[in-house]
Amino acid sequence: MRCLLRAVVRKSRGVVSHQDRGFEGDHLTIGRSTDQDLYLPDLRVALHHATVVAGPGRFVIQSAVPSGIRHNDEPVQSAFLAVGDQVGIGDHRITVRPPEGGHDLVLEIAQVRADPGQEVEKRVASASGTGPEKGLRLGVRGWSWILSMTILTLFFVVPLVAHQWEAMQGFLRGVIPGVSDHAWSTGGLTEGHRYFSDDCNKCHERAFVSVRASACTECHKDQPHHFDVERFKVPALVDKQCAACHKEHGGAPALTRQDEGLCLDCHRDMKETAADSKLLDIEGGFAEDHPEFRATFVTHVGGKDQSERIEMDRPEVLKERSNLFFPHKTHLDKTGVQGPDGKAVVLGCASCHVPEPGGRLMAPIRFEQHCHRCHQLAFEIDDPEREVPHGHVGRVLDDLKAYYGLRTLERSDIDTGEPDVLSRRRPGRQATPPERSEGLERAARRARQAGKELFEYRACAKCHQVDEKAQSVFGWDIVPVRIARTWYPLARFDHGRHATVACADCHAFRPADCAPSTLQRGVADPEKGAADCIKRVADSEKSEDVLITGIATCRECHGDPGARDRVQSTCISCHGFHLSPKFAMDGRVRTQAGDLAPPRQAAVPSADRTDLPTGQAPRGQ
Amino acid sequence: MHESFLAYRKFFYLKLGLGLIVLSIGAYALHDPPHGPNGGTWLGYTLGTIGASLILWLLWYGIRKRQYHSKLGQVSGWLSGHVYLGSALLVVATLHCGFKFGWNVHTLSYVLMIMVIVSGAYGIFTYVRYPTLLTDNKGGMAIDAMLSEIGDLDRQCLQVATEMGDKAHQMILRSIERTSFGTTSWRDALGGVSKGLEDLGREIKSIAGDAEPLGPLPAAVPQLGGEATVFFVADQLAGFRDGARAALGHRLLDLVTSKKALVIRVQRDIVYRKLLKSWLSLHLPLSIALLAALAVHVVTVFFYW
Repeated sequence: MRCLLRAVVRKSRGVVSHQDRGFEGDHLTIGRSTDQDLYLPDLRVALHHATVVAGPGRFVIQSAVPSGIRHNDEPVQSAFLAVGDQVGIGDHRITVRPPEGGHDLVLEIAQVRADPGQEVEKRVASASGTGPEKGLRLGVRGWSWILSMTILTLFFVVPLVAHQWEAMQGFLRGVIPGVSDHAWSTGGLTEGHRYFSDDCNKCHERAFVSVRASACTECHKDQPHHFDVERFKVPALVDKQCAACHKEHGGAPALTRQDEGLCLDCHRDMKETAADSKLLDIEGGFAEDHPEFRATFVTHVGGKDQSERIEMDRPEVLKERSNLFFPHKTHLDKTGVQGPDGKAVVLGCASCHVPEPGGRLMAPIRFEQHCHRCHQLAFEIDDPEREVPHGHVGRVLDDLKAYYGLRTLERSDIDTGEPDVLSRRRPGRQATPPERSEGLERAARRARQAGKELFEYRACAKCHQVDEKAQSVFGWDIVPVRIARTWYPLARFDHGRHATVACADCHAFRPADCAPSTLQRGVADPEKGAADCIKRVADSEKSEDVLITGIATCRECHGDPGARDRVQSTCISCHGFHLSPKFAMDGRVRTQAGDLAPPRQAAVPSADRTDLPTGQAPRGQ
Repeated sequence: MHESFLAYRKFFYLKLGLGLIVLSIGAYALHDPPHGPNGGTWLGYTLGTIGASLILWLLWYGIRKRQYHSKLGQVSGWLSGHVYLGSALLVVATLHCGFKFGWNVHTLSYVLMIMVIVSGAYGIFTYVRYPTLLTDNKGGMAIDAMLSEIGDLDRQCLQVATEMGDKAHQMILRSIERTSFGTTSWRDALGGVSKGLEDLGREIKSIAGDAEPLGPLPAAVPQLGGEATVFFVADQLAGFRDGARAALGHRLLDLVTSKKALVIRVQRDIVYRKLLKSWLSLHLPLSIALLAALAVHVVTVFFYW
C-alpha cells in the first residue's frame, strides 16, 4: 500500500502548516514506540497501539491493545476506513482524506490539545443530559405537543368531523367507538334505552342544546302525565324538560328520582295542595313518618260501588262486609276437613290462594276451582250427580222444574206419598189437560221444595247471604259478594318478590279488642305480640276479619333510604307516579272512549315544548 | 434566613389548600342530590369550575416563573401555592366527579390529572431530598475541580504505568478510556448492567492470561472508577520483589484508589442532578396533555348536553 501521512502542525496565532511523508509497505503500524511507522508521542498511546492493513478494496484499522481506538467517537477494536472517518488514539486525531498524488490512503494526523480532564468533562456533560441532544430524542416540548395533539385529535377533532358526516359517524361508532362520540359518554344507559345506545343523536338532537322533551315523548307520548295537570299547577313537573329529573348515563337509580323530597313537596300538606283530597299528610320517610296503612273496602251504597279506607289500627271498625260466610278456622283445622269421599283433607293457604300469572297478586278464589270439590250443589239424594248451576240464581229454579217435570213424565218420580196422577193413564192415550196440569204443578212443587232446601238451608246459605225478600220470580236472591281484590290498592305490592316470606308473617288479624299500640315498631316483639293480641289466620272464625297486618310488619324489613339494616325504601318503591288517567305526557287528553285527543285549549300545560324550528327534523331520524 | 417554598408566609398556601379541601368535603357531605353525586349537580359544576380554574392557574406557573420582571408576587410564593393548591385539586376533582369513572375522555382527564399531581409530588420529594445529598456529596469541591483532578490523576497514573512497563500502561490506558459517567436513559442503564457484567467477565479472563482477544468496547458502561484496575494493580504489587518497582506499584495503587473515589462522587452528582430533573420531563408533558384533555372534557360535556 502507498500511503501519505500528513501531520498538521499548529503554530502561534492559529497558523496551520502540513508536513507530508510517504509510506510504502504491507501494513502501517501506529504507536508510542519509535520503531512505529506512525509515531504518536503521547502517554495515552501504547508502544504498539494499532495497525492499518489493506483489505479487499478498503483499509482496515486494527487495535493491538485492549483499550482499543475511537472510530468516529465510538470506541472499537477495529474498523474499516472511509474518506472522512476520524480515528482517535490518545490525544491524536487521524482523519482519512481523499486519495491524491498516486497514494491509496491519505491520513491527516493532528494533535488535539485536549486535557484529559476536559475529555472527562465532555463525557460527564453527555451523561447528565446537559450536553447536546442525541439524534431523534424528543424533549419535554416534543412530548407535550405529541400528547396534547393526540388527545385533541382522537377525542375531539375526529368525533367532531364525524358528527358532521354521517357515514364516518356510523363507521367510527361501529368499528372504533373509542374515537367516536362514544368517548364522550359519561356512563352506560339504562336497560330500556340500550337498544339505541349506539346513536347518541337519538336524544342529543342538536349540539350545545340540552335534551328536549320531544326526544322523550317520541316514544313515551302515551305515558300518563305525572298528575292532573289542569288541577295542580306544579311548574317544576310540567314546564321543565324531562331530562331535568330523568337523568341518563348514570344507571337505573338516576333515571327516575328516588328521593322523597319530590313527593313530600306536595304530600307534606295535602290541605294546601288539594283541599278536597282524602289523602293523609306525610312528614318524612317510611320508617318513622308514614301514617298507618288504610285498608280499602268496597261498599255498595245507593246502587253504586264506593270505596272506603279504614286505618289498620282501628280494629273495632275494621270489618269487611263481603256478604260471604267463610271461617278460615274451620278450613285450616289441623286435623283436616271432611273431603268429598268422607276422608279428612288438611288444607293450607296454597290450597286456595295461588299467585296470578306474573306472581304479583293472588288469583281470585273461584267456586268451581276451589270450593266445588267439597261443596257440591246436589239437590236429590238419589241422584247426587245432578247439581244446580253456581252463580246463576235465575236458572236454578228453571233447572229444578225441568228436572222434576221430566222425572214426572218418565214416572221415575221419587216416592212422595202422593197418588201417581199419570199412572192411571192407559197406554196409547194422551194425557188429558187436567192430568198434564197436575203433573206440572207437582213438578213445580217439588222444584220449589228443593230450591227452598238449597237456598235456605243446605248449599247457598252455607256460604252466601240469601235475600229471602228479594223480588225475584221465586223469592230468593244471593246478596252480591264484595271481597277486596287487594287491601292496599294504592301500593304496588308484589307477592312474587316476597316469596321467601311465610304467609303468616304478614297475614294475621287483630280482634276488635286488640290494642294497636303493641304493633308500633320497636315496641312489638313479633312472637310476644302474636301471643298477646294478634291472632293467626287459622284462628279467624268470621269472614269479616281483615287478615292482614299494618305498616309495622313492613317496617320489620323496610326502612328509609340510607338505612343500613333495612331494605332501603322510598315513596316510589311502593307508590306509582305518572298516574293521571286524564292527561298524557305529550299534553293530549284521554276521552271517555279511552282514546287520546289533542288538548281542548292551547293553555293546557304540556311538556312537549321544543325549540326545534318547524320543518327541521332532529338528527337520527 | 432562607425560607423554604413549602413554608412560604407561614404555610399560607398550605392553610388555603386545607381550607379548600375541608370546604369541598363539607359541601360534598351535606349535598344530597336526587340522583347521587356527579359532575352535573350544582355542587358538581361548582367544584368542576374551581378545579378547572385551579388547573389553569397551576399551568400559569410555568409562564410566571419565566417572567423575571413580573410584579405578580414572588416565584417562591407561586411555587408554594402551586404545590399546596395542586395537592388540594386531588380532592376537589375527585369530589367533582362524585367517584364516577368510566372508559371515556372525562376519566382520561382525571387520570392525567392524577399522574401530573403524583409526578409533582415526587418532584417535591426530590427538591427536599437531593439538594442536601448533592451538597454533602460535593463536600465543598466543585465538580469542575473534581474533573480536572481526575484528569491530573489520569496523567500521573499513565506516567507511573509507563515506568512499570507496557502491560501496566495498557491496563491503565484502558481504565482511562473506559471511565464513563451516568446513564443517558433508563434503557441504557438497564442495558448497561448486563453489558457491564459480560465485559467484566472478559476482563477477568484477559487478566488471567487467557488468549481470547477482547471484543469491541461497549459504549457508556457505567464503571465506577475501575475496580478491575485496582485489582490488577494490587495483583501486580504482590509479584513485585525489588523495592523500586514495589514503590511504583504502591504509588499507582494510591492514585487509582483516589481516582476511583472521585469518579464515584462525580457519578453520584450526575445521578442526583438527573433525579432532580427527571420528574419534570414527566410532569410537564402530562400537564400539557391534561390541558388538552380538560378542554375536550369541558366542551364535550356541553356539546351533548
